[in-house]
Amino acid sequence: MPDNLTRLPASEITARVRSGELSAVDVAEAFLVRAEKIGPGLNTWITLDCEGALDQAQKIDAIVADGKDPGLLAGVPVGLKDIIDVAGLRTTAGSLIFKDQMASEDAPLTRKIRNAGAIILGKVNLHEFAFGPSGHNPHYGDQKNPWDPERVTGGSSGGSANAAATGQASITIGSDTGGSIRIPSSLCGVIGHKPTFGLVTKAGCVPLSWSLDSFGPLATSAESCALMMSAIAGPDPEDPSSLQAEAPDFISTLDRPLAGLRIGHARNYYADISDPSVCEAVEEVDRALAEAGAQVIEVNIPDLETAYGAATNFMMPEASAFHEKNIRERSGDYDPKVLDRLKIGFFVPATSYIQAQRFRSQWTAQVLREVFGKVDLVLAAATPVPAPLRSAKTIKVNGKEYDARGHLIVLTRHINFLGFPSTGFPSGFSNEGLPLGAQLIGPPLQDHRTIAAVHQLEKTGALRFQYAPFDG
Amino acid sequence: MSMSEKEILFRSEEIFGTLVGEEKLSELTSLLASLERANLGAVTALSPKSEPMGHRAILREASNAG
Repeated sequence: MPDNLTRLPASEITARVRSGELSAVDVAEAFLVRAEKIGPGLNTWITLDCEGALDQAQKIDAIVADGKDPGLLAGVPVGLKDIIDVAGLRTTAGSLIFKDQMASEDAPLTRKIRNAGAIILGKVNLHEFAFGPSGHNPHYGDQKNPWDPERVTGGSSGGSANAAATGQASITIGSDTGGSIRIPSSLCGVIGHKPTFGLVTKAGCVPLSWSLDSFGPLATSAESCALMMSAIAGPDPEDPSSLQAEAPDFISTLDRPLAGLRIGHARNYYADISDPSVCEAVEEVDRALAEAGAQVIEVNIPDLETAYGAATNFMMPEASAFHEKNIRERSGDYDPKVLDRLKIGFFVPATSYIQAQRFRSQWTAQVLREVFGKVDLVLAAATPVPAPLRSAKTIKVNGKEYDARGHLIVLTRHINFLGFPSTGFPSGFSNEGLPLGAQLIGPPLQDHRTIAAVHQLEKTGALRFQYAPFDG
Repeated sequence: MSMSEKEILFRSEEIFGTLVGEEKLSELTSLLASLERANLGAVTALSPKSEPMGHRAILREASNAG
C-alpha cells in the first residue's frame, strides 16, 4: 500500500472515502503497515488490532457502496490511549495490574468515535496509569521521541503523540489531567487539544483524578482536532461530570479570522522558568498573531504558586483513592516511581483537599474576571523545555536546576485546575532540532476558538507542522 | 498540619505493608511540608464565601456562544 496515504490530512481521507474515491480498507492497511514498521522502535502500541481495524474499514466501504452516510470521520485511522475501553480488547492502562483486563463493551467515547466512521487501529502506550509527565514505562517500554529516540515523548499520552507525529495514526486520543495531552504534543511537535472539563465523556475510561481528567485529540493539524472534537464533544448521561451544554460547532468556526481577536500574552506564566529558546518561539507566535490583526496585550495570571500547590493537594488524594485497593494488595506490581507518587495522596489531610477545592472555585472566578474579562484567549508556552533525555534526572533552565520530570508539568497543571480548554501547538524548534510548544487557552466552552486560532496560525504559515524524521 | 514522621511510618506500614526507608521518609516529609505550605497559602487567600462546589457551578453556567 502506498505510504503516502498516511500523510493525507484527516479531512481529505474522510472526503475521499465518503465519495468512494478511496477505500477505507486501503487507508487502514497503509496505516497498519506504517504502525507495524515504525511502532516497535518507538514503543507506540500496546495493542495493534489489525483484524478489527480491517473489519471496521470493510464496513465503512460497504456503507459508502450502499449510498448511506458513513459519518464525519469515515475511514480516518485512530489510536486510543490504553485507558479507554474498546470492546474485545484489553485496557492495560500501561500497567501490570490491568494487563489482562478485557473490555466487554466500548466506552461511550469509543462509541462516539466508531459511530463517526473512524477506524480504531488499536491502543497506544502511556505512562503507567497516566500518572507521569515523561512517557517512561517499565512494563511496555518507554515511549520514545520520534525526533530523537534517546529523549522522552512527554506524558502521559506519549504513544498518542509519537503515533501522530510519525503518521502511524491520523488522529489519536489522549487524556490530560495535569498536561498529559499538551506536554507530549509540545515535545513531539503535534497539535493537541485539552477540552473544557466535562465537555468530552470520560465514562468507561480508567481515571487518574475524576475532577481533573479530560480526553481530547492529538493530530497533525488543528482541523483534524476540530473534526475529532465534533465527533466526541457533548453531553453523556453515563458520565456524572459531563456538562449539559451543547458542544460548540468546531467546523464552521474554523475559518474565523484572527483579526479583532484579543489575545493576552501571559509571560508571567512561563518566562522565568522556561528556556530562552521556548520564550523566543512564543514571542514569534505573538508577532504572527499581531501581524494577522489580533490585538495582543500583556496579561498576568494571578496567584500561580498558590494555585499550583492547591492543584497538587487536590489531585494526589483522588489518584490515591482510585488505587487504594490495588496498592494495599499488589503494590509490587506498580512502577516504583509511580507508586511513590500514588502514596503521597494518603498523607494529604482531608481539610487540605477541601481547601484546595474551595480555592479552585475562587481562583477560577478570579481568572475569568481578571484575565478573560479583558481578552478572548491567552497565549503561553506549553512546556518550559524541549524534550529532555530519557536518562536525565535533572535539567538546567536559566542556571537553575530542576527535577527533569517535575519541571515538564509546570505550565499545564494550572489549566486543568481551572478546567479550561487549551490547544497546544508546535511553535518552532530548538537549536538541537527538537520541537518547542506553545498553547492557546480559552475560557470554558470556548474550545472552538482556541482550535480555530491555531488553524488560522497554520494558514498564515507561522505554524508549520512537520512529520518527525524517525522511520523505523 | 502536616503529619509527623511517626504517623507517616505508622500509616505506611498499615497501608503499604512495608516500612519506609530513611531516604524515602525524608523525601516524603519534605514533600508533605511543601504541600502543607501550599495549603496554608490557599487558606490565607480564601474568602469565607468560597465553597467546594463553586467550580462546577462556573462550568455549568459557561456558554459556547461567541
